[in-house]
Amino acid sequence: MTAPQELAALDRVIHEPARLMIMTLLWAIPEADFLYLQRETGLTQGNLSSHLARLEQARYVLIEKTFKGKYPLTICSLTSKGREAFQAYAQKMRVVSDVTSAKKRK
Amino acid sequence: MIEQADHRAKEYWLSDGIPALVFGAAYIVLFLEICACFALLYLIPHVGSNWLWFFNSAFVASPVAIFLSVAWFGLWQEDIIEFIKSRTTYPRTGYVAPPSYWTEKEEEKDDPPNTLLGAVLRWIGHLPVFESGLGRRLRTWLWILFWTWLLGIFQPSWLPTKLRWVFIVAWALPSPASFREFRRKVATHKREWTKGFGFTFGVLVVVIGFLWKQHPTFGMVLFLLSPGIFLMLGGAIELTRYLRRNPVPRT
Repeated sequence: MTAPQELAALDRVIHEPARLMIMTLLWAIPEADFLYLQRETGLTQGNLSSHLARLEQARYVLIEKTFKGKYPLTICSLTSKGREAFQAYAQKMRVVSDVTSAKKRK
Repeated sequence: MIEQADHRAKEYWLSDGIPALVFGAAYIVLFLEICACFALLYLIPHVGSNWLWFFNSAFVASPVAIFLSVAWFGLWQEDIIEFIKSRTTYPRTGYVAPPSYWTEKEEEKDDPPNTLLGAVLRWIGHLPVFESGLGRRLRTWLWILFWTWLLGIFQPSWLPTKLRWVFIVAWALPSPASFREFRRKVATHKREWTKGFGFTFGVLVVVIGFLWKQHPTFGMVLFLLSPGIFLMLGGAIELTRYLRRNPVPRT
């Protein structure tokens, strides 16, 4: 597969900017709740909720509803499948970045 | 970007001042337990024979009690902090996994070699960065050390002469640099006024130390207690500011 063809095979679930933001955050953090993700991403409640649902559907994100004291938490974390997918996505993007930086140098 | 998210999340655990508050309180409780232990030692020769068995057994049991309380706090400190956070921080700014959980996950992720070299390399990878929790904790401890030294200089009656000079030199060497850094921070970040408050607090303690120079025991107690008070005070200020800045979001 050539480099441009590889780009066409990018994971579209992750490629969407809002979902990419969520995946990047969850890649760095073991787990975080909905409110934290909302504050960090700057997305609205509905928007974040729908993107998380899409990621959960793809089994990239695990969503657990629990309580800490009286405070209800919606805890999100990346699944191993999600980690692998994000790693593969980053690898493909790195190829693009390498190509562009090589072109610049020339 | 991932590194930035990582640092921000690590900083998040300490940013509300609750860990500092809890650790300060634990330090004071531990110090009071040790004081009680010494008080028993002082009281034993003065009590009547009827109560001697009680004071003796209390004195023997006190080191065990201190050890148990330290162990209990070591095991449950994260749960205590989480208990307070679940009522103050989480409803306002959300939840992020606590540090212990973080380490487990990181070990899983990095899969570092289980050798001394591996441990050193891992440590280098976690060198204190300004935003990271580790860097912040280090700074807190450096501040505590700084004030402890400062107090040590002005409480010379119970310090050996040679040690006093070590304190004075150790304090004097980094002080111009730290003062310059403090001024720079106050100029750029207005919220750094808390450091000014800490400075005033330190001066106050020194003044009190001077006033009670005739009572070395009081000076020593104050000196040993100051890290706990300083931590609690810093934590309380940080928490108040945090709660003001982050009101509970409307649902």
